[in-house]
Amino acid sequence: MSHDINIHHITRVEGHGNIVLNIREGRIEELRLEIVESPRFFEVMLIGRNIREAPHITSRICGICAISHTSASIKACEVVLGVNPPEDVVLLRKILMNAEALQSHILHIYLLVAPDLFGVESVIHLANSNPELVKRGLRLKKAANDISRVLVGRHVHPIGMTIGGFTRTPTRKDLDEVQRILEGAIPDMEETVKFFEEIRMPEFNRQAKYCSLQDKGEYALYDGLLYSKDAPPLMVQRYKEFISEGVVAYSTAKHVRSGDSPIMVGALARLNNNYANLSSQAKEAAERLGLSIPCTNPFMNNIAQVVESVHCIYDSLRLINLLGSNPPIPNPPLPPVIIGAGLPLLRSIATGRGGLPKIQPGEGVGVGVVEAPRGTLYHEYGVDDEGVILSANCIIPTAQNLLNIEKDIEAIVPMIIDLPKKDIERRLEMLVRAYDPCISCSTHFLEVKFVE
Amino acid sequence: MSNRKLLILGLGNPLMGDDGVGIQVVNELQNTNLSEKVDIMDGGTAGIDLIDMISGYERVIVVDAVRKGFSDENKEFSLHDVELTSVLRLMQTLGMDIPEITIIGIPAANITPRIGLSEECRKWIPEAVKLITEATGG
Repeated sequence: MSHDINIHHITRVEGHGNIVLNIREGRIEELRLEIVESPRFFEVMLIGRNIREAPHITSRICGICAISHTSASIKACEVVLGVNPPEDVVLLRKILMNAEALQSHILHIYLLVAPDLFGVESVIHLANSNPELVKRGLRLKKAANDISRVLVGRHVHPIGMTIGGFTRTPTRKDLDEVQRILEGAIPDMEETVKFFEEIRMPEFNRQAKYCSLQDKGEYALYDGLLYSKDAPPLMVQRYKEFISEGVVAYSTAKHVRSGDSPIMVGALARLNNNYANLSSQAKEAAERLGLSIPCTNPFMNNIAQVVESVHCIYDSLRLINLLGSNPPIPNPPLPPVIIGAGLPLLRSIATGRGGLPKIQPGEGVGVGVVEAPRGTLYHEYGVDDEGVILSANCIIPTAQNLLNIEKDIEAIVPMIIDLPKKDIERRLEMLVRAYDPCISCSTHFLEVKFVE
Repeated sequence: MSNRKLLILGLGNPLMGDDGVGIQVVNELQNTNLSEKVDIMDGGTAGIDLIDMISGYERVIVVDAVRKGFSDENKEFSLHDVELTSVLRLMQTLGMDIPEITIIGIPAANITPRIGLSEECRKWIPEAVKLITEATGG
């Protein structure tokens, strides 16, 4: 049997990719996951700009994980500038990270995974056959977006998040509204768990090296040390000892390894590393959904996203409780930076003209790391003593998962090689989609070619 | 959710050159007295989130970059991932209320990773602002 499989993805703003898989007589002759992504261009774009602009520029890299990019960027900037955000600010950022993970996971499991489970082409078809299911997904997504809207103006490009705090500090009234939104989302979340209780993911196990942040006493999304099972945790500043990047000829995305090993990041990796710190409600959901740790089935990343979604709701309620009855401490208001407003304005903010506080650049290099919905996200900036960015590095989760996806495909193909072509194609799509790569939004536009 | 009936929604990515022209237009509208009468939103590269953004309005004016060469014959105009039309189709399938939508498309000359608009594209901004101001009775 010989299949020449080419899966073509249609471009998204932040990237597009192909799977090229050539099987002859049951053996893989050629396997490439070709991804073309733009973060490298964004890195170049940052060079020569003032560090104060970085969070606002990088928030535009992705329309889905804008809060993660903004947070990683802000953290890197705060290291460089010697800014220590107040505890309240950190708690609010953690709520925002939860909200983003929730909206991103819901988008993935309801609008991209669920059509697969029902064997239909797209969410439009699913909306025809199961409108209540799709509506529930959209309600949950709206709830998560509303939290971001209340706290930082909007989810797509969170204009209110800034170095040191918020351009407009959320009030107690805002927090009450967030609490109301979260409590209102619980019934739909419960229905989501119920729905996935009935779903069986394909059986396929392959041990991977699971990498994520790990924090003491807390499920790490916003902060922590770099962790994988067989090594001592590392400070994020030493990330180059944790992972290494390489470029391969067929993809402009950087391939990432840890030592010699491919790595897996994202919800399943986090659950494998940090299960003990999940909220009790999320642990209960994991049990109901048959997800037990350690879990080596990459298809279960979808289920891990459901579990994390439950966690994000209850953990946010816990964080609101921690913020207490006092309104958060406001920090000195700074005007938001508007991209496209013209460089003179941006420069005046950076240099302190116009009555704004002048920034004192500190160490020169700052690393900011968060757990974006899809996995660990790294931002690193090197600046001169005027605060001008001299170097920038941004490592996105999808790039970290690429090699591991290839290894999974290598391992699964012999197991499914005798299936009809359509099923091979569908299973491979499902596998790639389980990783929730940046390209996954467009995988329903897949064009698959078999050449024999 | 706003009580206002009309939303001016800019779409696009300011990091991709002319793709950000819609954002630039809504930034300029923020500084006019129009902003007191209608909601003005920078929607960035929103995909499915467009549903939340436009729901509840009677009318939405979308400002976005379009491919050069868009005409009655060539209707493939959108530059974005999850096209507005797909989102509207989903809303329609689910029986959701869809606002009346007007699209102001500005031809993009240069869609590459860069901050800033080409002169060719920028020159359309005053006209777009004028069109929107007139359309809103301002």
